[in-house]
Amino acid sequence: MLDHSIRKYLETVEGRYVDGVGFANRPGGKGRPDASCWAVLALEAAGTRSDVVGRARQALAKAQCSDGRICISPQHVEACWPTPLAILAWHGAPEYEGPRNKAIQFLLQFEQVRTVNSGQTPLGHNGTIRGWPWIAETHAWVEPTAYALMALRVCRYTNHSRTRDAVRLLLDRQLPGGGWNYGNTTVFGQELRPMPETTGPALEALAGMTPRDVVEKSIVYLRSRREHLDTPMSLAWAILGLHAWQERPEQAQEQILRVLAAQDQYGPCDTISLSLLLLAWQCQTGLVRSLEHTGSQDDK
Amino acid sequence: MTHSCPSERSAGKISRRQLLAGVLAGGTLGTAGSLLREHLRRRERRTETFIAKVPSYDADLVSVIEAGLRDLGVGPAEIRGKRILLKPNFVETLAGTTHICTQAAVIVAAAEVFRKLGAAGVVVGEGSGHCRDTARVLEETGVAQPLAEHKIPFVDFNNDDLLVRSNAGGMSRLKTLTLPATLEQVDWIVSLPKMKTHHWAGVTLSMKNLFGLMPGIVYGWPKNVFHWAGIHQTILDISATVHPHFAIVDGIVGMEGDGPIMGTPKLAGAIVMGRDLAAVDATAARIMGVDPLRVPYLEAARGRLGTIAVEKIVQRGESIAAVRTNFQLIEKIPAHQGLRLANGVL
Repeated sequence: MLDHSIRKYLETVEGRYVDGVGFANRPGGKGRPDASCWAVLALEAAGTRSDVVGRARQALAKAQCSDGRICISPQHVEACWPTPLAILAWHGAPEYEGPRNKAIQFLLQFEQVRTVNSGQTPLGHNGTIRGWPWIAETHAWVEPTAYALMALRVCRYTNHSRTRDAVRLLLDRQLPGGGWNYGNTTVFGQELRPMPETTGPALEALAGMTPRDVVEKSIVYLRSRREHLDTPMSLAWAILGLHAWQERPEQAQEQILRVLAAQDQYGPCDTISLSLLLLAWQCQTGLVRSLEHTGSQDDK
Repeated sequence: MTHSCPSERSAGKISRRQLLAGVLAGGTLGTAGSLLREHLRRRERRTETFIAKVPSYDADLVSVIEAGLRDLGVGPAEIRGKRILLKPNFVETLAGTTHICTQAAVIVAAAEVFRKLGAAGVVVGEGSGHCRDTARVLEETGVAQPLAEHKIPFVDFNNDDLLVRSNAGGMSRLKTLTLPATLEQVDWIVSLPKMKTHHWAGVTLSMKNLFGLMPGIVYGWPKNVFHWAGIHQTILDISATVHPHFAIVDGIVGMEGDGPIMGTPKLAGAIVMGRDLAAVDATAARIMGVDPLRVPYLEAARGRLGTIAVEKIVQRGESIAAVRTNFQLIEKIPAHQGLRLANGVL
């Protein structure tokens, strides 16, 4: 049963489907794999049974490289950060088990360029912990590592060494004062600032993987930050991150509706932000827990 | 995107990587290094920059920018019918601050001036280096509302369509650069940076600001590909490939110390403008009390991408000495070491 409050926004997402290539990230734009993944997740979570979901999953499978990666465009094979998002988008669709398994195998062997901690570095984090970069041949960062951890959890790789490393990396990159930014904690001795749109994915990925007290400061940061957010992506991730830790932010749905309505003034949201807001509306226990209800229950 | 880059075309037989290696190697190349530097110094052309004293963001910035463009010979004949891109710096935000990002007042004033000169359109574009949520960046920089009120469109370069181009600089290992497709839809690119120190690059001004053109979906958040390929090298590569037409540096309130994010506000009270980005950056650096010849990418730009030598830059408006205020440099930051411009040089 579709929720009437968000029906028109789901229809907006559906309307961004571009035949054969998946969802565009903006009205009239070209298809983009990350936009396709988030749109599929939002439409599935809402139970739309839209036929574009299947077609978008098919487009993702068609775009998959022979080694299993999903790239931002065929010309940019090094930009393979959408791979874990595709794993999430294929989850619960048995007909895509093949592409999904190939993507998982790619993800398990793909890692960043690790740096040696010589004691001379001005960076506060540990560059030797394995995680995932945005782009091949670069350093590991919070958001791609959080996406990879979500994908591995949903696929029940909860005891895999890469999963454990991902947890270690995210905790290592948690800011001393709470929250996460893109992935630097201190540089030249100064603590950097947290951001809601990266704290949300990190908390979402870590829920159930680490004791609450280890991330309590980050929950407190996100809780207080959420109240004042009025941009779609940050608000969506703040709510998803809090939901994942059984937090129930007050009047979150009213806040989501207010931000959705602001499109009349500021113009249409991009598909990714819109889909994330719709997921924040639907996923009362967080994204990963919602997905964990479907698919295999066997740990790998 | 329209360009002309004569110095790039006449790079001669010296390989670009050799050139940069020579410059970055400092004095270690001995006679060959001295000859190389002399060769580049001779290739520097006479150019002009404009400096205005601007005590605060409440000043009449439209008149300031108009005066600068007029003094530098940019008038309606050149701008009429052109589509202008303004590229500010929104690397990261902290609501309520003035020292991290290019301020809305400067952006809106520049847009108004170009419109008055007959521009066919003005668009603002940026790809934040650290923030994924572009809408939050616009909100917290205080830019969203003024852009909406003045009907100035904004393009998120982190998420624009992509345009792959050969790397015209050839300084790093990158064979191609992927640019936002919007660059093909504009005629004039104006870099609109903040005047800041930088803990990896020494200073960040109009050339370093071009990192923000590069799409995050291809280069990441942060744009870590450039760090691995060499920050100085890729600043030069992007500058040579994009070849912007003009720069306006927001130095009203800059950032000193541990820039470009965690430094402290520095009232410099200046706007610096010019057609030659290397010369604009060299002038802004001297205002900050930084010797541009000790900033590796600026020294390497000398004679290739523009002019650095003070004697070849005609100063319009105020003199450097009239606005110079030393920005704090931090000794423990390697990129800051040895940058201080000696007193009395200007």
